[in-house]
Amino acid sequence: MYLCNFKISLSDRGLNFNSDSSLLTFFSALSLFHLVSLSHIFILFDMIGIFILLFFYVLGTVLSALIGNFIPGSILGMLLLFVSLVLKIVKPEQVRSAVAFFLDNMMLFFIPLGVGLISSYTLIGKYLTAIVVASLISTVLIIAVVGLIAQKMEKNKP
Amino acid sequence: MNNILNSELFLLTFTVGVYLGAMWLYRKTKLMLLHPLLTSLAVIIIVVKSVGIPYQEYASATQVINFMLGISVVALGYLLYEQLIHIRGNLMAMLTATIVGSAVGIVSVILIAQWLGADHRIVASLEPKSVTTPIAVTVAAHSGGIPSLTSIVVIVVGIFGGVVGPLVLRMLGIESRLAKGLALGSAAHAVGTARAMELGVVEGAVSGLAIGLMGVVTAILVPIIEAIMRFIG
Repeated sequence: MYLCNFKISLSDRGLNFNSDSSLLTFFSALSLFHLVSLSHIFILFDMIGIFILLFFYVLGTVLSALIGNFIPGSILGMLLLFVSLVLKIVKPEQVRSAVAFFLDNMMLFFIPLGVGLISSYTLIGKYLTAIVVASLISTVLIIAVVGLIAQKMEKNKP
Repeated sequence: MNNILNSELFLLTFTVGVYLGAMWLYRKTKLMLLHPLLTSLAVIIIVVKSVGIPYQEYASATQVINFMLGISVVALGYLLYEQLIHIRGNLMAMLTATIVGSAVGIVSVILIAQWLGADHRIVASLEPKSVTTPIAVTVAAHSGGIPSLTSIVVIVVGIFGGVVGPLVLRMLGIESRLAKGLALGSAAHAVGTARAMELGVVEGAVSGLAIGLMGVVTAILVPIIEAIMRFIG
């Protein structure tokens, strides 16, 4: 119905759009124009990049299941994406905008887990001393160990 | 009215709104203690608690957001790739330092926490405490910990490490810029990196790389060390 009206209005204006193929070209040109005019949205939310991230997430989850869920799937997905970038299987510019979206808003993604504090604060309160003491001592140890080893082994001084 | 407050749509909109507000407040004040995650959690917990929404309900309503966490962990692979150029022939030094550092961090936190009487869920929540939050909560959830506890401990550890880190490094006589950056990034993730950037460009860049290295190494070491500890008893 729409198509019909369109045809008539075009021929009314004396344009030769009667053959089906030229009509098709016209429509594809129109849709292309549509894409171009919406390109600012695609820059923000690149679907190819999202697909690549999801794809590696799936790949990592499958691999994780294969090794008996020893390491979480998303971590393996991260490693696989890293390796694919190094081996140039994935081009950096293919994922860049999607990565920027997820990393810029990462803080939001922790909130649902963090609110779980509601159901576990009594347990945490009970062991607060252990939590604080263990975390702080361990942090100082990491700084010392990493600093000393890195300084000792460093070759190319930047 | 209560129906609307309990709806997924409302809880999602509310969560994203509070997050944006917390980010705005943090950028405006630049106070470490007003870390956007801490303030958002405080506001959301108070509201959810006072309206009387069970956590299960909140969690299922915000499942979409939680799913994004997995994708952003995958996205960290890109960050690691971008920071690869900072290795500059020091691969062995950096890898050894992070692997040993990560192992010392995990083992020490397990031993001290257990010695002070903490139960398994608490210990499992603390194991990945020095790692960037997305990886830390993923690892903690995976090994039977409480991810919400981990997310808060990670921030507190970050702030602590950022403050005492340069002090510890000075006391140990560590002069190397690479060593300083690596130590701050691997012990105190992004907060440590922010501190390292104040020390210098090299420190900041190396520190950024250390976040990724430490994350990967810890995610692999936690299940291994857990298995060994179980084996020993």
